[in-house]
Order: sequence, then C-alpha cells, then structure tokens
Amino acid sequence: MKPKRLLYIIGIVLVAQLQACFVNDDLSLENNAHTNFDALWNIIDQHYCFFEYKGVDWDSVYNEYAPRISDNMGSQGFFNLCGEMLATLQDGHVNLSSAFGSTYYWKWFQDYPVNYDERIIHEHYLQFDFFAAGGITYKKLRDNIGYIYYDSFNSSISSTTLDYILAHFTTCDGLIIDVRNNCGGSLTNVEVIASRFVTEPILAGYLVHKTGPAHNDFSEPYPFHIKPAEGHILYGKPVAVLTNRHTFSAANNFVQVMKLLPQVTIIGDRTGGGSGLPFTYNLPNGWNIRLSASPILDAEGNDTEWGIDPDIKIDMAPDAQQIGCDAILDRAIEHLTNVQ
Amino acid sequence: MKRLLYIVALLFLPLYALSQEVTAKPQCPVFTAIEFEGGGSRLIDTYLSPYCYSGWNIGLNVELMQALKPDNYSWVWQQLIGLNYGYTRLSMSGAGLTIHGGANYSFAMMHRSDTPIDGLQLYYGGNISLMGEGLENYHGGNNPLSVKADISAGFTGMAVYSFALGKLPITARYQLMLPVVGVFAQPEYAESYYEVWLGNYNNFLHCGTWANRFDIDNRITVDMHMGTWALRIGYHNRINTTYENNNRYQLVLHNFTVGFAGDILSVDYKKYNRPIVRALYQLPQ
Repeated sequence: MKPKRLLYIIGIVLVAQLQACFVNDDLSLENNAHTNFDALWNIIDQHYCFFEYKGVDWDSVYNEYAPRISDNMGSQGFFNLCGEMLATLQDGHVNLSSAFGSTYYWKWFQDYPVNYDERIIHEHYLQFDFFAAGGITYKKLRDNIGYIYYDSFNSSISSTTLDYILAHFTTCDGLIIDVRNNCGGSLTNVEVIASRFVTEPILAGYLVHKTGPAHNDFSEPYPFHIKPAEGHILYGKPVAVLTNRHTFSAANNFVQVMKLLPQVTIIGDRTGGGSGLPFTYNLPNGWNIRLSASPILDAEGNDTEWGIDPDIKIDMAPDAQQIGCDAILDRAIEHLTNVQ
Repeated sequence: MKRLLYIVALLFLPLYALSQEVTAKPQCPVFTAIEFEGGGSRLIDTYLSPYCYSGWNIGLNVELMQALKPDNYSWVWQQLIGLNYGYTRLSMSGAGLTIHGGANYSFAMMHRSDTPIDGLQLYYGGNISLMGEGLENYHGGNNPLSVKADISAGFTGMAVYSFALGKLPITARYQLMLPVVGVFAQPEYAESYYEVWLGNYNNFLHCGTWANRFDIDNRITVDMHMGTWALRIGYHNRINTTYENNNRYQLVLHNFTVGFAGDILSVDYKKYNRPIVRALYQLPQ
C-alpha cells in the first residue's frame, strides 16, 4: 500500500474515533438497581453541601446500604430503601421522586407542635371576610393591627399588588406577616417583599456554592443585599413575623432577612430551616433526586439549615385553640400594641 | 388546456436550461442556500445531569457566500446562520427530558486554490463564530437551565468538486470549521444562575482553547444544478464540547439536510446571465 493512501486511511479512522469519543460513556451501563443506586449515591456525594455541617459520613452510609441492593428487589422496594438512605441526611430538601411517589424527610416539623390552624384564623380573626391577592390573604385585625398571611413563596406577587396591600395598612399601628406553614418557593419573592421594609440597602446574607465534587469544595461566600423598593410604598412601622417549624426554605430565608431589621420581631416557634438552595438531577432510570446544593448563610456568615430562633418563643395553647384562640397571633397583636 | 401547457412547459424548463452551453464569463453574485435539516442529537451537560441524553434535532441554516473580484476572484467570504432545536431523553432508559435549542453565526474569509484535478478547488481561511445554546431539563429544582454562549475564532476550509452526471451539473463540497480560541460562558460546578443574576460573575467567562473547549463542524453538500437554482442535499455534523469548572458539556448533532441554493438575493434579475450563475463554485479556473 502506498504511504499516501495509508495516511488517508489512518486519517479517516482517526476522525471516526474522534466521533466515538463523544457522549458514549453510558453505553457500558445497564439500567438496573445497582446502577441507579450508585448513581444516586454518587450524585449526593458530589453535590450535597451539608455533609460536614451535619457530620454525615457518606461513605459509611454506602457501606451500610449498598449490600442491601439487589437487581430483583422491585421498583418499590428499591425506592423505599433509597428513601431510607436519604433520610440519614436529615434534610427536607432531599427528595427522590418517581412516577409513583416521592420520598420525604419530615422530622424537621413532625416532631414539634403544629402551631398553626388556618380555620381558627379564618373564623375567629378574619371572620371569613378578607382580601386575597397574589397569594396573600390580608385584613385589618382588632386594635388597628394589619395582618398578612403568605402561604408560599412560589406565589408571585406584583409590585402593584403589594402597593395596594401596604396602602391598606398605612393607618395601622403595626403589621403582622404570618409565614407559618410557608414551605418556601422563589427567593426573588423574598426580595420583593423584604424590600418594602428597608429604607437603605442592607447586607442580607451570603451565597455559597460548590466548586467541585469534593465535600469541602466551596466558593467564597458571595454577599447579597436587599435594597428599598424605589418608587413603591415602604412600611416603616413595627412588624411581627410569625413562624413555626413548618416555615421552611425560602420562608426561612425571609425570616433570616427580616430578623435583621430593628422594627421587626420574630414571634412563634423556631423555623424549620432548609437553607440549602436545592438542585435536582436525573437518575438513569428517570427518577429525580433533589438535594441541597448551595448554602445560604445569614448576614453573620452562619448557616441556618437547622432553623432560626424567634425573638419571642411561644407555642399555641391547645386549650385556647379549643375556644378559637391563636396564642401566637394574640401575642403578636399584644406585642405590636405595646410597642407603640 | 392552456393551463396544462403551462405546467408541461414549466416541467421541461430545467431540462432546457441544462442544455444551454455555458460559454459566457461567470459572474459572482451572493450565492445563497437555505437548508432544512433533521437528524439525531446526543448530549451531556453535567451541570444539569450526569447522564447522556439522545433524541432528535431539527434545524434551519442559511448560507451566504460571494467571491470577491480582486485577485481574480481568489477570495470568498461566507456567512452561515443556523437555528436548531432538539428533544432528547435519557439514553439508558428513555425517561427524563432535556430540550435544547440555539442559534449560531459564522463569518469566514477563505482563499481559493486550484488543483491539478479538473473540477476540484480548495478553499481555506479563518472564521469567527458566535454561538448561543440553551438547555432545559424538566426535572425542576434551581438548575433546570443551562445556557451556553461562545465567541471563537478558528480555521475553516472546504474542498469543492464540480462534475456532471449525464447532463446534470453537480457540485459536491466538504467543509470543515474548527474553532481554535475564544471566550465562553460557564457557571461554576454547582453555582445557580440566581447567584449569577445577583452579580457573581467570578469565574463565569472562560478563555476557550482546545484544552477546555473543542468544537468541530463538518458539512457535506451536493448541489444539483437545475437552471438558475440548485437542489441541495447533504449531511451536517456538529460537535460542541466544554470542560470547565468540573462541568462537562457535549452536544453532538448528526443531521441530513435538504434545501435549495442559488442567486436568491439578487434584486436585479436582469443583471446576471442567470443560467450560468449556478453557484459560487462556477469560478474561472
């Protein structure tokens, strides 16, 4: 064979090999329980952000659960075992989702008083007569105190709606923002609401993200600020933010920001935490794993994954509930009335 | 009956055009090609998911090319504009869903070189390309999107071979585009776009070289000239890769193309001797 022709053939083979190098690394894997277990464990290993903070030895978790995996254990059995493994992370942001269900870790609120009863509020405080807009329920309560209930930071609220709501309360002596049972949502909504209670930019906290797969590969904390909503109504009178253990994720972040403000008092129970910004990844079988990937620190650089203590700790009293009293809400009204 | 005659006349018009002797001096207006493409797509973006996705892809390409008169038409410029959309699922199970779509633009300046082989011409030069691609994985979370943006400079070259199949003039071409250096955007390993949006651009833009970014674009086209225009069929392969911030991104597209080409953009149709304005490739040798 002539050398020139040989070179051509080598060139063609090299080009073909070049194509083969791309995106073919799954070809040797089979979609079975072992593959998916290893995928799940590895995704957590490389992306979860609270191993050190929580003192979790993820390698020993693998050693405990991997021997229990078998390819004929069935989808439900495999799913349940994975859920059991994920519970060792003690994280409400960690969920495995399949077509037939999701795993949850709920101990962050299950082991504590509920401290919220919507029926009591609607019946005895709002008299089933209130405004609702942009995910916010609001009304003037007794003693000239305004009341806002925001059930989810997933509910986007426009600046115009917020202007109307705050205008409604301009004559009130104080305002209650109730974020009990608020399990979070979008951080941008945290900023939208919090920006109505600051008169100058404040350092609200820091964002940290992973820079690599090792457990301690973290970026330098990046500060983020809350600025006053220019051109919109700001509220400068005393504010009480009501919390319970079901105040989680973005709602926890909202409390973290509001607690920085001198006119704001946090009343109720410790929040549920959930300060890690969750990322989601597919497993090879199509299930999704959500996990805390990016910690959000408070303004002093502390993690609030385990929650934020209130300024005034109070639980709802079961006896008072029987007669339609919300002790946390009553305490907030009393506090705002006395703080004048 | 009259309408039938028109239809018959239209059908035979291309054959009439083919039979014309190409004797006049070729002219070089902007040669335009519009291509529709469809085929397979395979991708991995570890920012979204550590596993491979495969599926289908469709696209639209517009090619503009013109020879420049100085130096006996030995320099040509070429502009390529492309849009693509793809729909992929996890390769291993067919579950999950990642869609991708983007736009790209390339400007190239190439020098023509004749060869001893009759009908074969080589073009080589440099190009600048802009590329924007977005990927969305439908798994939710705070990392559903991955945005790719890239500007690069590199080499391009093409081999063009003109021949006739019977009386049908054909121009076959292979073109390679190989970006060498550039700049591309990639957030850090697990940095949310929310953090980027807040203003953290640290380590977001990267100098792209073959150490961390390798792209290649291969095109094979066959133009079958039918009078004043050409029917184009071909194959288009595109590979985009980045390895940065411990994240890996690869997109491989294999598309078959069909389209048409010719002097589409000329406003003054009388300006040129249209039967001979078949393609850029009809240049004096």
